Amino acid sequence: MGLFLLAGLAQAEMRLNLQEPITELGHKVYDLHLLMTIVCGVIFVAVFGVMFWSVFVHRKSAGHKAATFHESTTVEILWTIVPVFILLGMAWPATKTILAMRDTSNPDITIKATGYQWKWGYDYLKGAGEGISFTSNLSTPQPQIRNEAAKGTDYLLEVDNELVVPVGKKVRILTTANDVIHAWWVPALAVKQDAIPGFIRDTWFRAEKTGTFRGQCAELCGKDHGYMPIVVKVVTEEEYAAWTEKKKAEQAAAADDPNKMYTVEELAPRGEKIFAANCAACHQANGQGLPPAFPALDGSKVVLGPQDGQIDVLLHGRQGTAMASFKHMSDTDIAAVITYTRNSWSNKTGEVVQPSDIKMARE
Amino acid sequence: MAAIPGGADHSHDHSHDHHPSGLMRWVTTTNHKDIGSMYLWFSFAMFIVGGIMALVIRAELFQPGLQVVDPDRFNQMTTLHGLIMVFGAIMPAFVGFANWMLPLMIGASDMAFARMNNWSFWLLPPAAILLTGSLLVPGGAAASGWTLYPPLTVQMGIGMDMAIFAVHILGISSIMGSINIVTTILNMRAPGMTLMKMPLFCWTWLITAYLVIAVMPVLAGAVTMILTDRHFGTSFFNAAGGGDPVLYQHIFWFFGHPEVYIIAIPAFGVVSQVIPAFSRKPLFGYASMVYATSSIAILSFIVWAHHMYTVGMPVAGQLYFMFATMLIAVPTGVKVFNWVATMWRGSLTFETPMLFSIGFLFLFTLGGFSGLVLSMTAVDVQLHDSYYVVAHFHYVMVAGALFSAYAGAYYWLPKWTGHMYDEKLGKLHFWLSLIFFNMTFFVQHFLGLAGMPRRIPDYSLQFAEFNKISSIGAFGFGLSQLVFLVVVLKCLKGGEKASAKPWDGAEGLEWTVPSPAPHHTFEVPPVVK
Amino acid sequence: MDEELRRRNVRTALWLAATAIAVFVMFIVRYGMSSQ
Repeated sequence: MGLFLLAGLAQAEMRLNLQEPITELGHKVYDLHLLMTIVCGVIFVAVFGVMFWSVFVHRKSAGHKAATFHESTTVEILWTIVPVFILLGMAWPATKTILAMRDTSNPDITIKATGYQWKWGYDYLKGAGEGISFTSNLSTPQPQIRNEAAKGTDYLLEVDNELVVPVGKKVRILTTANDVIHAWWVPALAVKQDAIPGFIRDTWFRAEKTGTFRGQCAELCGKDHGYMPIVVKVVTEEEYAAWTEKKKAEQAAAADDPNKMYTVEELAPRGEKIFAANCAACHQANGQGLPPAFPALDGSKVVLGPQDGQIDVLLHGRQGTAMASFKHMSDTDIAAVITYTRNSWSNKTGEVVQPSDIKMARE
Repeated sequence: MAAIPGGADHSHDHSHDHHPSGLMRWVTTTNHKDIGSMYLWFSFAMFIVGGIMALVIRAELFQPGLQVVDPDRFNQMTTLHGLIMVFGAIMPAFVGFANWMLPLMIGASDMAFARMNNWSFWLLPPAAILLTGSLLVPGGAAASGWTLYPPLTVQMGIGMDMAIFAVHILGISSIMGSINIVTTILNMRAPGMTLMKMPLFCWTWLITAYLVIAVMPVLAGAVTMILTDRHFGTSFFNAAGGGDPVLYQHIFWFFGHPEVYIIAIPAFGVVSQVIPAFSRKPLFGYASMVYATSSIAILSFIVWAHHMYTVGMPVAGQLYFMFATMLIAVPTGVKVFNWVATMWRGSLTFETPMLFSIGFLFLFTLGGFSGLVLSMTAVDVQLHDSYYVVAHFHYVMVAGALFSAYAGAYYWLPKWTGHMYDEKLGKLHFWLSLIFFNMTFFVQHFLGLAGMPRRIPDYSLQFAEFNKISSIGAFGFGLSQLVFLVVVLKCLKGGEKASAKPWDGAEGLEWTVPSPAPHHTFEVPPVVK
Repeated sequence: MDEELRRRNVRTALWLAATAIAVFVMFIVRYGMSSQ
């Protein structure tokens, strides 16, 4: 067993400490943790050194006879007061670090991270790159998760669209959520902030070097809590400027004409893609759902009934169920996915829902 | 039964001839020894059930990828494992000790409310059936973690309602039991036994029972508010309706933090009985131990938000809760020092109860230190909701409370059964538990530090090695607990006859009655000098 | 158990039960009444 473990050690990663920090506060946190562990370790060894000494020397089998003392005011006062001073010594550096961690003033860039079941959405709100918006989904293929294919190096920590930020700039991250509580955690940045639906919280970081840093959702949010990672790519200022240009151009090109009228054949394939990325996790690709938590859409009264009803569910969610609101999606995307559901599986309404219908329903 | 003033001996005039036998004896018993035994058997059964769930979890986590269960079932396992272990295993185990030992230790004939005592126990099996049965209903069991945070819990199916109902029933059982315990200890001590003369185990249960009465209703309130948010149109925890999900966290942890002391303080009490016995020396600093335990209990009310450092509370809140939490280390340290000082220059032997107590001392303190690390907000930002937290609470609850429960079980088995247990098997149980426990949980500290979140069924490749080791340890630990079952069954069937006081260093009224303790003891209270 | 002890026990228990109920009611009223 020992050899097996040692052999594993040679090639495996068996990291004992926090991840290498790449921010100044991250270094402070790393040092604080190390200091505390050492202080606790020293006290632990001292106290249990005494205990094990006693275990050895004061054994009855070694002939030791029991003393009778059972109190000593001096000693008791000492071992009450001394720990208070040790704790004060630890609290002082900790306080300074905490105050610094909560100071989100004067950021260079502000980005909103929204937690969804089960992915992240990023909106660049202020600073260079303002206006950029995208979702970031796990990109590890299902066969790897199901053990049908070999796992890649960044298994479960890779996404389709990474969060790109420039090095050396103060980045303020606003966190919120669409449905349940999530949490945005990137260990190398020493940042973790709960993402609470209906509320905005914030945190910040200033990356000292370029590179790609990976984290995960850190608050249980339902079945795919382990499958919504965060990838932050820190680049030079020039690379960042180039990226923002590219992203904005892509967004403009992909932007839909809100007044365009579509046919079923034009919209349904787009709807199918959206369905796969946003709906199939619960309602299943075959539309059968997982009742009672996730109703079937194939043959559903809502899908086959008046369009207004289905639009309402998509825009506002369903209170008291897992069906969240999808109003953050574009009019065209919502129209596409509704059109898809009304013309798939055994649903054959032949109906098409237009982006303008969605726009009107929002008002 | 006719009341006879003055406590004259009336043991010949009982209606015992009408007492049922067989199953009905157990259903209707009002005897604290019977009820204590039922609590202990129930808690062990729940420990096995919760343990099997833990093994499902560790089997899934043995390797990256999904092999054993789907992610939703996995979350149901983590949730039920937590609820069953906390409410079905460890709490009833210590209540079982309280029932068996408190009347014996204070020289009372039974608990103050013997019939309510019966109800307190019999509420538990239906609650357990609700909880485990919820796995089979459509949608499965609650899958939100034992902490039941909304809005996630508002989304779930009927399994969540069953869990809420079970929590209510368990809460009522605990509150009734605690009312019983406080009344018994305050009103029924033998003449001459002042509060400062009673065994520390009695003090720890007195303090714990007050904590239970104070905080269980809060848990009941919190889960009721979830129930109404789910079904009756309230929006306590829903921003769209004017509420706040974080409100739940405040209410839950106001209960939750004292709850962990409700688990730990009786464990302190057991160990405070066992260590002096096997050191052949009185407990060091009895009065300080009483004050320290009381301080821990009072402080436990004002530290709850250290479970919530990352919700976005104002920095002043984070700082306050950090300072208050660090303070708890002081009285806890006093207790650890006092236990070591009890051993110091004693005349030590290392029978199984003492082994488990020393194991407790060593490993509970280790868990306490990881708790101190977690209390530092700046560090907690990295460790919150990671495996470091999982490691911390398993050290204090398993190597802490569970080891203490084993220490008490081995210590008092001769009194309960009239036989000495098999010492060789007991020692085997201890060493196997010690080794496999540490194999399972020590490496989890590193997993948390390295960045592995908790409550995930699958993980990225850099966590693979430590997870493999942890899973192997878990299976070893689980199997080792079957040794205890063998020890107990063997001891019940036979073994060396136990005298009234089989441990020469033991003190206390329980050692003045024969082994096994007669069905009725201290019908006439003894006089304590 | 003599009558005096029985009465004392019931009195103690009633105080404790009152505490439990008071805590529960306080919480329900506090959060039930507030619109926040």
